[in-house]
Amino acid sequence: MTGEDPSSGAHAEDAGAEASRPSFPVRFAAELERVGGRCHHVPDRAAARTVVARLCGDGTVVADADPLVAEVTDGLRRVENPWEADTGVTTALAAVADTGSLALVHDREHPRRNSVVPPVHIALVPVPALVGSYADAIVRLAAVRPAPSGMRMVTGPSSSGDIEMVQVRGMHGPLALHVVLIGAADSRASGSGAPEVASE
Amino acid sequence: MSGRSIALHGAERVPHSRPEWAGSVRPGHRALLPLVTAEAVSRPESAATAARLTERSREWQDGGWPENLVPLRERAARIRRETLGDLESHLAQLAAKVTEHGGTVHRAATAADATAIVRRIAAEHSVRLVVKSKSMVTEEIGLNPALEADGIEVVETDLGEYIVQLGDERPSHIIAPAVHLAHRDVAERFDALAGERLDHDVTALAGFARARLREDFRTAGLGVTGVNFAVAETGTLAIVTNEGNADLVTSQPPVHVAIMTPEKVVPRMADLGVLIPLLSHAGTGQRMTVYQTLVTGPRRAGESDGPRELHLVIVDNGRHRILGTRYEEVLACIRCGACQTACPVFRTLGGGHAYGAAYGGPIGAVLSPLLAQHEQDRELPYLSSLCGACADVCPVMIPLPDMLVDLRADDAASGRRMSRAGWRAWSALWSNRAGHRVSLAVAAAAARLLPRRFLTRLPVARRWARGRELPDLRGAGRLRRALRRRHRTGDPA
Ligand code: SF4
Repeated sequence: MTGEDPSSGAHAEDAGAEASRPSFPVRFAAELERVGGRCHHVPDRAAARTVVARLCGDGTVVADADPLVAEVTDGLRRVENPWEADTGVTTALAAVADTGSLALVHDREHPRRNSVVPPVHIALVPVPALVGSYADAIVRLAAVRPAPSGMRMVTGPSSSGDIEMVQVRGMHGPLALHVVLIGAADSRASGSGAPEVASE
Repeated sequence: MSGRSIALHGAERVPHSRPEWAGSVRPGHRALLPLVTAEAVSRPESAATAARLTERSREWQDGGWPENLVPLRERAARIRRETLGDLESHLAQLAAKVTEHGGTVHRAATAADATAIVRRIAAEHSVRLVVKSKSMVTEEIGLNPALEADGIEVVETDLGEYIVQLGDERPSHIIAPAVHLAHRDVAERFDALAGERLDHDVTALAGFARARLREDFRTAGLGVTGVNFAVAETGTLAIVTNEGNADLVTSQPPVHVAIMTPEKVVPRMADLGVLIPLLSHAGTGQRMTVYQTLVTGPRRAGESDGPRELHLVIVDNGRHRILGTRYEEVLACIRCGACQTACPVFRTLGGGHAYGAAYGGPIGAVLSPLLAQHEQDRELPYLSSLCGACADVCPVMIPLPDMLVDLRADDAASGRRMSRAGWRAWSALWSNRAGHRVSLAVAAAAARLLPRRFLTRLPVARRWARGRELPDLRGAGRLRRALRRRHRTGDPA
């Protein structure tokens, strides 16, 4: 790293301005929805499980081999082959309040395909994983040891602007992206502390 | 171990209705530039393309740079120039890191060297099908025809690249390869490919391409991508897309070949936090593109996807000659295409095809002659009105207009003795009063003798002259005479 602080980039505001801004979860939800994703803010894992069960219905699911994912997807119709799955459920290392982005890390338990092959991607994100800016998330990724072979930043469902430069949603990656934000609004973030459950 | 393409099945039914100079394989020699541009301008499609580009550029760039990106832009410009100042040591660090993580690094001096390396890798793995994520450097080095000559099917998976591939065209814009086509053109291509009439809704057409390409990601023996940024400190390759195709190309085939030019290297991971938001904004007016795929070596032991082999090909193809010259800064380019979208000449030409090079627009008009792969590219700096729009929108502040002027001066100073002699004679003639007066009298006489539409009757210049007229020179010298008379009689001006 150099002397330059990457978090002091475009999105850093002085403390006063920051205090008057909405909380990380509120900003994240607004940004994600702006790019075509859906945010579901729930207070705990039990509520997350209800949301995920409703989103998956009786469709097939591939999921990361992760304790949080295992608990939340318990009882769903699991398959091994992502190409046959309707939905992929994964975790994320971080999520960005300013841009609605997710930072994903791939390893044995978190294969690349779970979040890119099935037509629907559901990411489970604990509220403390929220960071302010895109640059902050890159710093988080850079700090993972050992350096993962695959990482990905994701901002919304896949899209293409290649026909007459009009953006259409749903290209090679998922056609729909849901983020389930789990936990009370973080104490580090300013604004209202109560989790707001997204209106469905 | 790889299958045959489903996506290209029926491609022979798609008609190739493009002008010759838009073809997928760049011709060794094109018609004279004024002839090509005259034809490009007169195509009705060009006006529609110009309208689209103008509308987008207004939408994205209106009001100049958003306040939050201004400091980022300055930092990005610094980061890119800092890297260029010490390119070799950054590349050495990158190569060491990629190797440390289990990848293989190849250095190639020329396009032919680079394609030979990829062909060898494909042959070693008996590859029959290659899936590609959009990459301009592979256009520059002619990778697809080289692989196809070995009997390998190459499938472009980026929607725009897939559309132009079906029509046997080159991409017409760095980040919007099919910008020269209307919705209707795309629908016609897909109908022909499918052999039936499809739903022509834009989302449905995208869905058709998605379904067609899906199987190829699974069965391809090799995935090829470009690289947007290569991080020296970690050996991480960053690939930026909206469609998610790079994620499939870099994770499903057993071998991944990433191709980059030396200047794509950046020192630190943190630099991505500066450069990627800028690239997103400048390229497509998005706050962030949807995907940034970060690859650090092949899959590790126990992982269930990701390539088993990762090859990084670093191809110079003429760049070392630009380093250390007054054009060095052009290598700071992050290929956002903003200068193309903003350029009135590029728009009027209906996109980049008429430039006849891999890169069109302001960046192409500067870079192509410097890469010196084709003698005719020396004419490209003249395809500019020098309005300065490209410099305003460039996220890394490359002084493109200054470079265009310098390149014209270089061109004028070297070779082309005929035109140089012409300019000298003109300058000599107009340096003295008698010469000037004589030339005006000759012009006036000629204008009276020659028919107005004389240009269109010339044998060679006819195509160039389409839509042009001789200026009315019958009154040449009249202003001068009037001024002299006034001067003599002392009339107030
Ligand atoms: S020269 Fe600047 S504006 Fe043009 S493509 Fe490169 S970075 Fe973008």
